[in-house]
Amino acid sequence: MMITRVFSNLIYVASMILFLIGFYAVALRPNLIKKIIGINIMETSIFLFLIGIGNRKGGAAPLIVDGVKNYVNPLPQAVVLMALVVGVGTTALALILAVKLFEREEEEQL
Amino acid sequence: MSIVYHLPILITVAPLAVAVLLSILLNLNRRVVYPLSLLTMFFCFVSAIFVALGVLKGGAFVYYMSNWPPPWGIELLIDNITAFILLLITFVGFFVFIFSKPYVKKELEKEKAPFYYILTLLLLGSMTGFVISGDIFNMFIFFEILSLSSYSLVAIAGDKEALRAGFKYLVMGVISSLFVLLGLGFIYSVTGTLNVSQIASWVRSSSDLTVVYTGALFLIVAFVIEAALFPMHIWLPQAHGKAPAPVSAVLSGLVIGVGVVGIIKVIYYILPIVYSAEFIILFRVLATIGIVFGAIFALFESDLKVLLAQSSISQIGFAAIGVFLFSYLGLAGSMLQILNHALAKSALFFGAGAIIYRTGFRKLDEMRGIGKKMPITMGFFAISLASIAGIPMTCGFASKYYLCFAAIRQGLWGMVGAILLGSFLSILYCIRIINCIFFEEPESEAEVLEAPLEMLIPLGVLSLFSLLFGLFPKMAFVLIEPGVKELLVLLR
Repeated sequence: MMITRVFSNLIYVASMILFLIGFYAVALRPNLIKKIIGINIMETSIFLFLIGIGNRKGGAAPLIVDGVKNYVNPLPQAVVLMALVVGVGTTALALILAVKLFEREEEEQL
Repeated sequence: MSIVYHLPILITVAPLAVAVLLSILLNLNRRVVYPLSLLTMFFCFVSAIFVALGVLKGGAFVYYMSNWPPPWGIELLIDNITAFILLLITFVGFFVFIFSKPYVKKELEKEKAPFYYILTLLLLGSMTGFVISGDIFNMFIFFEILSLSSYSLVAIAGDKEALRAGFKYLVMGVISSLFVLLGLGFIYSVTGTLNVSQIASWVRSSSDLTVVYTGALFLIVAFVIEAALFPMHIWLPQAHGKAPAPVSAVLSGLVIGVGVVGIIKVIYYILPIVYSAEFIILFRVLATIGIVFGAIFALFESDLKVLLAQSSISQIGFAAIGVFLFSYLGLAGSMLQILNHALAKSALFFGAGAIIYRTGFRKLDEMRGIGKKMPITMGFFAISLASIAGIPMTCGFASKYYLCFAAIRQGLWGMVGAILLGSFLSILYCIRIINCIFFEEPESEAEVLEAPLEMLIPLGVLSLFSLLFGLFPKMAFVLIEPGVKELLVLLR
C-alpha cells in the first residue's frame, strides 16, 4: 500500500529528497560555493515539483496539433521558465558576493 | 474610468523602466542618474496621492493589464489598504532619494553612486508592484526583484562585513522566495489558477483544504522570513546594520513592512479561510515572543544602527500580532504600527546616517553628548525615538494602545503581558540612547556641524509626521480605516 503510493508519486518524493539535500548544503556546509550549489539544488527540486504538477500521463507538448487531445498543463512550465531566469540572476549575484568575499579575505591575509 | 485607473501600474512600471533606462544612459552621462530617479520618485508619490484619493472616493477596483481578463491576463488589485501602502512606500522612498545625495557622495565610491540609485529605484518599484499585484505568480516575480536589489544594496559598500551580511541575507531570502514558489505550486495544483480572487472563491466553496493549508503554510513562512518575525530574524541585524544608512531606512522602514503586507495578502486576500486553521496560533505566539526578544537584543547592543535594526524585529512583531488577531482593533493597530514604523524608523536611520556623515561614529559610546553639538538633527531624532518607544502623543503610542486593547478584548492575557513588556523594554532602550546622546558629557571638544539641509529635511518631515499622526490619530484613521474595514469584509 505504502510502497505503491510512493511509486505512483515518485516525482514528488524525488523533489522532496532533492530539496532536503539542497537544504542540508545551505544550512550546514560552511563553504560558500557549496551553499550556492545547495541553493541551486533546492531550486531544481521545486522546478521538478512544479513540472510534476502540470504533468499528465502520456501527455503531449502543449501545442495545438490535429488529433492530439491529451496535453500537459503549460502554465507550470511557464512558471518554471520565469523562475529559472530569476534563479540564474540569484546565482550570479551569490557567486559575485562569494568571489568578492574571497578577495577581501586574501587581502587581509597578505 | 479616469486616469486614476491607469496610475497604479505606472507607479510600478515607471521606476522599473527608468532603472533600466538609466543603466544604459549612465554610460553617456552619469550626472543624469540622480535627477531622473528623484523625478521618477516624485511622480510616483504624486500618482500615489491621486490613487489614494480615487480609491477613497470611488472604492476598490481591479485593473487588467492590456485589457486581458484573468486567468489569461495579469490582474492588479487596488483597494484602500494597497493605496495606503503605496502612498507610504512612495512618500518614504522620495525622501530616501533626497537624503541619499550627500550621504552617497561621501560614503560610497564614485563609480558605485549611479548603481546605488538604480538599485534603489528597482527596490522601491518592485515593492509597489508586490503590493498591487493580483496574482501570486506576479507577487513572486516582484518579490524576487525586491530581494535581489536589496541583497545588492546591503553589500554595495563592498567591505568584508557588508559582503558577509549581504550573503547571509541572500541565503535567507532565497529560501524565502523558494518557499513562495513551493506554496504557489501547492495552491495551483488544487485550485488550477494563480489569480488571487479566483483562488479565494475556490477556497470558499471547497471542502477538502489540506493541500491549500500546506500551500498557505509555505507562503506565510516565506513572508515571515521576509518580515523578519522572531525565529527568522537572524539575518536582519547584520543586513540592516551594515547597509548604507538610507538603504537601512528603506529596508527597515518599508521592506519588512511589505513582508507583513505579504502575510496580510495570504491570509485575507488569497486564502480567507486560513484564519480558522490551528497553525495560525503558532505564528501568533512567535510574533509575541519576537516583541520581547527583539527589544532585549536591542537593550544590549552597542552599535547604533544595529540597535535600531534589533528594535525593528520587536516593532514588526507588533505589526504582525494585529494581523493574526483578525479583529478591527488588531488590524487598525497593525496598520498604525506599519505607518509609525515606516515613518519613525526611517527617520531614525536618517539620523544615524547624519551622525555617520558628520563624524563617522557608529558606536553609541562614541556619540556621547552629540545632541549638544547638533541639536536640531538630534531633536528630530529624539521625536522619532519617542514614537518608536510609544510615548503618549506619538503615533507609536496609538498603535500599541490599539493592539493592547485588541488583545484584552479577545482575552489573550499572555499577549497583553508581552505587549506591555515589549513597550516597556522599548522605552528602556530609547531612554538609553537619549541619555547617551543628550545627557552625557562629550569626550572631545571638536566642533560638529548640523547635518546638511538635504539630510535635515527628510529627517524632519518624517519625524514630524509621526508626531502629527500621534497628536491627531483621526488623520491616520482617514488613511487606514476604510482599508481595515475592507479587509474584515474579505474574511466573511
